[in-house]
Amino acid sequence: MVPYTEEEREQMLVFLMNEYGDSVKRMCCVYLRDLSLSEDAAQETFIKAYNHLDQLMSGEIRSEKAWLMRIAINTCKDTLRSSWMRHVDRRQVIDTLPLSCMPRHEENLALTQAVMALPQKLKDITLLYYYQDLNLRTCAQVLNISAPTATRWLQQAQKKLRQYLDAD
Amino acid sequence: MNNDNRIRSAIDESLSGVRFNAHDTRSVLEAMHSSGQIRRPAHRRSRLLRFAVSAAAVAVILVPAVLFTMRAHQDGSRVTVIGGEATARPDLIVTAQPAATPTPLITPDPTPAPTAAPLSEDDAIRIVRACFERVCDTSVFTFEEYAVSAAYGEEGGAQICTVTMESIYDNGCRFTATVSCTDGSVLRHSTPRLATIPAYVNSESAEVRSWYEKNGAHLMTWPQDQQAEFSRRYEGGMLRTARDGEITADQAKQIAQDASQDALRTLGLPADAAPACYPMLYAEAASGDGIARYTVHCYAEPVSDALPSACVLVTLRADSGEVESVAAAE
Repeated sequence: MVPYTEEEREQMLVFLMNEYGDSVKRMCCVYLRDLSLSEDAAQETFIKAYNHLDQLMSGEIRSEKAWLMRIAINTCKDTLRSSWMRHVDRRQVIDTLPLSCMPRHEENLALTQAVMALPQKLKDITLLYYYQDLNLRTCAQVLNISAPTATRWLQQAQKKLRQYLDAD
Repeated sequence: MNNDNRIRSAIDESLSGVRFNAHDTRSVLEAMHSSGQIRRPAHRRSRLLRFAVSAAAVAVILVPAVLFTMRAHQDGSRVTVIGGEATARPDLIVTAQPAATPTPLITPDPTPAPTAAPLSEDDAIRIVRACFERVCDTSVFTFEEYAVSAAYGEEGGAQICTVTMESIYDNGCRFTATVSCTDGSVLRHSTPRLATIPAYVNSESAEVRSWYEKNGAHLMTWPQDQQAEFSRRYEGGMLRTARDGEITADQAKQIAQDASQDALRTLGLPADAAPACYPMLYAEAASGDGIARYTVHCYAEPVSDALPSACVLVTLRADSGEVESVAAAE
């Protein structure tokens, strides 16, 4: 493997943070439903990415986005698995999130909340497919499941989202 | 790729205030640089536990050390300051060494002075300035906007000079470079982004407080040039002033007053009164689509220290003045 200088690795890391930082942090926020945890998870995602940057830079990894999202999702899962998290009520954070300069529409808030409320595996596929715009095969690779399973999960997620939004 | 981007738009809009900001970037880069090894970011909720463990560890290490030092003092040992960079560093390493013969007075040894460094402090600063101007974005902050200090030290038997530049605005921006005293080469420097991306607004800072004392408690009520300069120093330039061809803040205010009237009447604006509107021009970098927009806060009455409860936000494009949205603020 070609050894990369610290400067090259750092440049790559900064590029990844600029390119994917916002979407990783928002995905963590939807996943964890907690702003401060999502901040930690997003930072940890890039720290882990840095530790394995050589794989990406040497071309071993074909899709940097899929690779990064896999790290992000695994980091979020680790956080959820922590013993502390099992006893925490994380029903909603959206009202406590920092306001943007743009007004928010009610239907978009409702849809975001509906995604937040999905069961974990359905949330995985929804975030990867709809939010990160990965194709189904890549989603399946990231989640380590078969393509038909990914399709089934996606259909279930769509059904759940429809039910949630209709009930709302 | 899938065509239905409603979920993406919904999440991006709902969570548009959630951004991987300068603080996050800095935390990752600092973790990367810290002692050459990666640390995990601190989870806020485990800090108490970490504090308890750290306190216990400190107690285990310090108590015997203090006892040993006291004993050494009684024995007439000397306290010696070691470390080539000692004069420049606050974290001096103090060790107790038994003296060959007891001496009544405990005095720190003078720090070994660098022996005839061929590179003067001025030269080192000049070299680091050139490095800073080469690798950092000087359109954000210039060299003159940093306080500069230099400290000599030793590395691998060779003399080095470490130059530190810290922002005079107390915003956390910092650039450090180490220069070889032997040949004047820059051995390493800190991440350029850390020099130009403000990490925080330190509300305790006298510098920051003076801005609020001068202009008022709410950024939106400040003159446009003050908003832009404050934003440049502390927020990465998210706000700016209008350029040629763009509508001015006064025009934006007028447009927003007209646009917000109906909404504010329902929120208590008297029929004969005009809304009090306060424009802020968000730069291209602040929006997802690269378009500069005014966000105008409109109230039924002028803003004092306490904000009125009813507020209407008007968003309009800076280039055309086209009103994009009028909505009651949450």
